[in-house]
Amino acid sequence: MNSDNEQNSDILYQQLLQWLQNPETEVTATDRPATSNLASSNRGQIRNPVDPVESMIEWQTPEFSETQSNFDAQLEDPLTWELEDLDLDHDLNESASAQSSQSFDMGEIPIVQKRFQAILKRKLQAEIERHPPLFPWETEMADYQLEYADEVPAMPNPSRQLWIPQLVSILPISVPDTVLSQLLDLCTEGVATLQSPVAQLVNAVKPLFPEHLHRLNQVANQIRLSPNLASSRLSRGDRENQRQALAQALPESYEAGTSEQQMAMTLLAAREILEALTLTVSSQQQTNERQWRTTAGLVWLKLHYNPDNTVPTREPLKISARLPKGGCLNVKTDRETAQAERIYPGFLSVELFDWQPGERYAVEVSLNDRQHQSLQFMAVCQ
Amino acid sequence: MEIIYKLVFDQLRQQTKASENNCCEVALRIDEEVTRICHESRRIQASGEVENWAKTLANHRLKLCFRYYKLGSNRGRIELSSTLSAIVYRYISPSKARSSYQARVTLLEDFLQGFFAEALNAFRREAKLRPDYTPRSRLELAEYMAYAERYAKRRIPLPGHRAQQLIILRAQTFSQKQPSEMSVDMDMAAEGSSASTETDSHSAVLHELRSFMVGQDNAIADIQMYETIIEELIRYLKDRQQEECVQYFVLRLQDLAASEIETVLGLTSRQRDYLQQRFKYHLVRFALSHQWELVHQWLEADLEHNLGLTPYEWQAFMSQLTPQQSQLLKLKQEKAETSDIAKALSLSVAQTEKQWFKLLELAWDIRNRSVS
Repeated sequence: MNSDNEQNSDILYQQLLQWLQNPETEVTATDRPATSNLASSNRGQIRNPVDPVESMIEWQTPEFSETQSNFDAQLEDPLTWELEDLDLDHDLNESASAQSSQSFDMGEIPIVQKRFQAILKRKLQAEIERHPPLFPWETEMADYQLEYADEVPAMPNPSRQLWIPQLVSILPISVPDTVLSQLLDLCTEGVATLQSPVAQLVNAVKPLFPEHLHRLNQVANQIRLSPNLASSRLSRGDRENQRQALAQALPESYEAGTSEQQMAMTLLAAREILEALTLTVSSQQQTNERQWRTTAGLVWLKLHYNPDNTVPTREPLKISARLPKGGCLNVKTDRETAQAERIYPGFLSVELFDWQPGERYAVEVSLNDRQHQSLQFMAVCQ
Repeated sequence: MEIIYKLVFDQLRQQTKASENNCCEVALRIDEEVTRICHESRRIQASGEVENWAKTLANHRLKLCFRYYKLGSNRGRIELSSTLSAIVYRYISPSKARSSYQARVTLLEDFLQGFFAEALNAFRREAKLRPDYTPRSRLELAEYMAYAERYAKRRIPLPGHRAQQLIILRAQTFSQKQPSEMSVDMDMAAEGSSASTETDSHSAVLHELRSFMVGQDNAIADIQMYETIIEELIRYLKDRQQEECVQYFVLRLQDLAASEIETVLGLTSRQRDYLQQRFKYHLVRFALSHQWELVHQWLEADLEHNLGLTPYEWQAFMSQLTPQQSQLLKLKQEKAETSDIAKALSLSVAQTEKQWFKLLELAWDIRNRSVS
């Protein structure tokens, strides 16, 4: 075999490839003894073309500010953003095309870039198919939720979804999440008012039956006297009996009911929710607590009042919570805000000093999840 | 611009199954963005064809949105991620100087997560949406994915009348935040033999100096010639049904390591080695025969520069030529057509080309010998 020729063409190949890859790289003979080359400095005739990539090193280094405002300030004409995409340079007699040809980088020779990206895309597609990425808001979504429907579901509002598990079994029959979610919103508003319990109830349900206010009042009055399912005045057994009796009186499901039955069911559910959102203590009942099931786990909340009659000043109201994930506990009065937060699951506690008997104070519990609203309880000390 | 809103809304109603409300919201957003661009763009204002521009921009948005709508949630995100990953692939470099495909893929995932969040925030801000807005319907998801793609590809003007795609700038920043080592990337393994140590010396200082020394006109001419050579070489390979060689060449041009090339093309080292040999064969023929003039001109080793030889080497070169070769060289210097040269030398055209190939090879050999 002609090994000399073979070697010669090897060298030639290396040189060509080197130049094509990196046209400006000036490699001296000592760098590559076996592949001497045209560009050694004492010869000088053969100059390597300037490497546009390297000459741009300075500007490629993102020396511009990271802040969005500065970045925005550098954007000239918004049309520039998409000329490449639109391939409409020819429509504009300005220097747009000249500009794009100057923004040249070896990898950006259009034909090379296009082919390189096509090759990589094919390969990466196979990779990504195995682990499709999640978008930022999807990290806590279930798999089935990743299929997006055409219709935006009017409800349930995802911001309330976190708190729905507690409400699912509020009645002995199933009530749609959409209704529960709306009710939770309405009751949260209602519970903050100083209205009578019936007025609170009717006002909370009213928006769901806007045409039937009169009938709604009647039904509300009827159920007013029925015992409250979650009432602490009932024993566990009595409560269960109540549930069963109610289950027999109600249709199979919310949807199966007549509008009057739906009204009644909604009012019953609203009454339970209003009750669950209110924590009352007094010198007789010094603690009151609530458990609330969420999609993240159980939230536990306790209101505590410990009057000490020997001290002339009023003892603070103490509110503690155990959260299933990081979150925040916040209590507000006109003159005082008490807040505590933590990053991981666990206990939090705040104290309210400046409170008045009979006054309702909003206790806000939020879990670290920007997609979801907080839940607001009312704390009352009689 | 009522016209744009209606155009977009009608199209959305026709081509998607989204609710009327949803179509209305998306149409309003597109309308507002397009109107804003038309209003702010001096070029569009100066063109006097504001309405046509608005339609073009709106249709561009719709087209991309429909594409993602048709693909749906799963295939859409795969398409978006692979498109964006391919764009930034070579800018995402792992901390070690030697990059591997897998290492880059892992970093790409991280990078894209951050980018998707940025795109979401940018979308909320530009479309004046609630700070906690998230896409809920298939159409809204398509709208977001289309936005993310356009956002990624925005040409951001940089100092010196240059522009770069936004996502590439982000990838560069991202890579700089990766722990890095000051090292020279020795791509020793790439070609497998000792003679093939292709140092990839990206010496920033050197190049910075050079960019001062080389005039801008020269640089642009060089770039154009370089671009032509690359395009010609790709065409040459394609004409010879060497699609695989094209792929190999393109990946080499982007500084991919041998192992990376193997992974990307799904080849064993042996297969890659064989492909490389094939590519070599074609590259040498391209440079010394098919496009010898262009290549030698680019290297400033054309006949006007005595094939890049020093006067002393040129003498040595001449002295080694047979009378026929001397005549061939003379005719080439006179820029005679190959067919005429063939006639003059009583050779076939193919034989003439072969002779010329040998002659050029000899010149390369002399240059290399005199240095080594």
